[in-house]
Amino acid sequence: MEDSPSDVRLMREALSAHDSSHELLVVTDGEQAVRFLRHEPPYTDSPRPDLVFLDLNLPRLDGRDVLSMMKADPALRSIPVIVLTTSESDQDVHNAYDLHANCYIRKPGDFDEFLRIVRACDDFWFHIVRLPK
Amino acid sequence: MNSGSPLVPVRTRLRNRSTFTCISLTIALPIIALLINEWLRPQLKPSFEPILTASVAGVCWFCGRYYGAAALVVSSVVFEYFFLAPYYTFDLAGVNEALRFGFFVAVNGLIIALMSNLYDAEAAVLRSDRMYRNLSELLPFGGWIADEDGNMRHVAESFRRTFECTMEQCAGLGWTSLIVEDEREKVITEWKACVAKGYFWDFEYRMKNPRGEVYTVLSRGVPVADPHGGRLSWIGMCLDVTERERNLQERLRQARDIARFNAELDQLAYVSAHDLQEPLRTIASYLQLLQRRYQGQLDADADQFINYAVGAANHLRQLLQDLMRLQTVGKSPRPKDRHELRALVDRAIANVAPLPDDTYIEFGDLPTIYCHDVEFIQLFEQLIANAVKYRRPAAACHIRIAAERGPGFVSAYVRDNGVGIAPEFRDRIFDVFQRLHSRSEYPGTGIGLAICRKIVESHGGRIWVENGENGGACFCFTVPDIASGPDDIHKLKA
Repeated sequence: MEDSPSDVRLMREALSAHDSSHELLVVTDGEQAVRFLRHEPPYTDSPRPDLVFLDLNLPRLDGRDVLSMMKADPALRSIPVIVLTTSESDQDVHNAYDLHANCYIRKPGDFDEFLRIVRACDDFWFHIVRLPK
Repeated sequence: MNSGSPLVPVRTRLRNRSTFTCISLTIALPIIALLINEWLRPQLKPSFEPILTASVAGVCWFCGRYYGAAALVVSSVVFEYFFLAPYYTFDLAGVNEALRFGFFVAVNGLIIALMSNLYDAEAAVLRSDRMYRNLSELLPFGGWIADEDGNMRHVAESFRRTFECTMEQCAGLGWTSLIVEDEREKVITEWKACVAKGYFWDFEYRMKNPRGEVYTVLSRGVPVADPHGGRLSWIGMCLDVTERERNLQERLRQARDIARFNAELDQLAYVSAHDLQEPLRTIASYLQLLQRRYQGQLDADADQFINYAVGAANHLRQLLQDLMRLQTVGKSPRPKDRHELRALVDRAIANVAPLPDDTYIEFGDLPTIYCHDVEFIQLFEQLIANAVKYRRPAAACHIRIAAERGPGFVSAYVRDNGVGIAPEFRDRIFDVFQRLHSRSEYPGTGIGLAICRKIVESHGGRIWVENGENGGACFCFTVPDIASGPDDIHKLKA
């Protein structure tokens, strides 16, 4: 869930550089995010994501609201949410965890670092951690 | 002294009788006494001494001790000639007469002495009174006197002149009508309470004169005790502190302005550094992607261009991060506290670890210091890291850290035997991003010492660099040190 096209592309590049087999689906604002998760049009055929990367600053509906909505919904709250955002303020970190984000990652300053993080996430969430079916 | 000055001459005759009056009194009074005695003699047979003595006392009272003495001489002559046997001669008949004469002179002498003491005392009082009045007129707005119930009895001339009022208008509590409305009630209450309890009076308030000019008045007074107990009066001074008050307000306003300006500047610096990082992230990331994707596929020039761009982007990111680090110095929400310097230095060394094998750190005296622990750990980290970074490659790195307590301050140093700093650069190196070497010689952005300086200066201290060991550098700093408890007073004295 990311509104900046350059950051979306970075994610795609990182995943392809990592040779991952995951499918990346993108929504670019908070409202779209909600519709996607609830399989509402135009996302009636959307799959249930295994993992969500969420930027806090989304247009239309703020990322924090999307997060709290997800964690309040019994059908959605078991999906791990990784907050991936530019802010490093203690307040934002605290609030994110308070709203039950699974973890908080600050977008790194360059691509090498980003690649390292994406690899680590893949390793952790898909090879070390067991996800619910 | 201007003309019309309220000051009075201090040396003055107590009773200003002219010389002519005194001489006439000296001669006349004993004669009058003589005549009175003659007139009363048939009925009352009075002895002459009391009346003569009264005349001498009278002259002494009216004209002073010297005329009194002269009157005594005249009276003695009169007494001896007219009233001691044998009469109308200057001889004395016998022992009785001699005794009587002697007694007369002695008693009168004593009376003159007593009266002149009284006279001196009165003169002294008058002198002191005049001195006080003069003193009280020296500074605006002068002295004041009130009675034991707090009613104003006398205010100085300069006060009356400034506030264009008469003594009658100020009497009692009349002076309070000059106080500005919003302070009047409080002053009256405080004054009445003070008078009731007999405390030292020290109050500041604003007064307005009929022309509308407002003055800030500092009034101080003490009760004057009656030697028999109780209170006789109140005596005090009013000082014109309007100028001082104005200056104080001005300085406060300036300080507030400066603080606000600094806060705005700080905020701006932080927000800029923070916001600039965002687009920089995109730049750096995509340059790296370019590097990865197209390295070797375009020509060598393209490779080099991309390398330079990537390097610059990284450098820029480092600069921004350093600026933000500098920004956060001095904004620690934690309060200052007393810490063991040794503990802080140990933490700093642990944070800089691992150090090269041939690094030797020795410690001198390290007393306690009153500071922010986190910031001072940062300070020592930076200084130690610098000492290690700028070492001489051929020699082992020796670092000495010591401190000592002085009156009201602690001074410390970190001395090394490294490459040193030439005297002409010793001021510049503490500036932001100032470096003496290229980044290929020694890495870094040149923010370290600027952070050190900001830490030390935000504690009210000073940092500078001197010669170290063998051409190395010695970074010294002093920090004001306030005792925070009775134990520390002992340590300070030690």
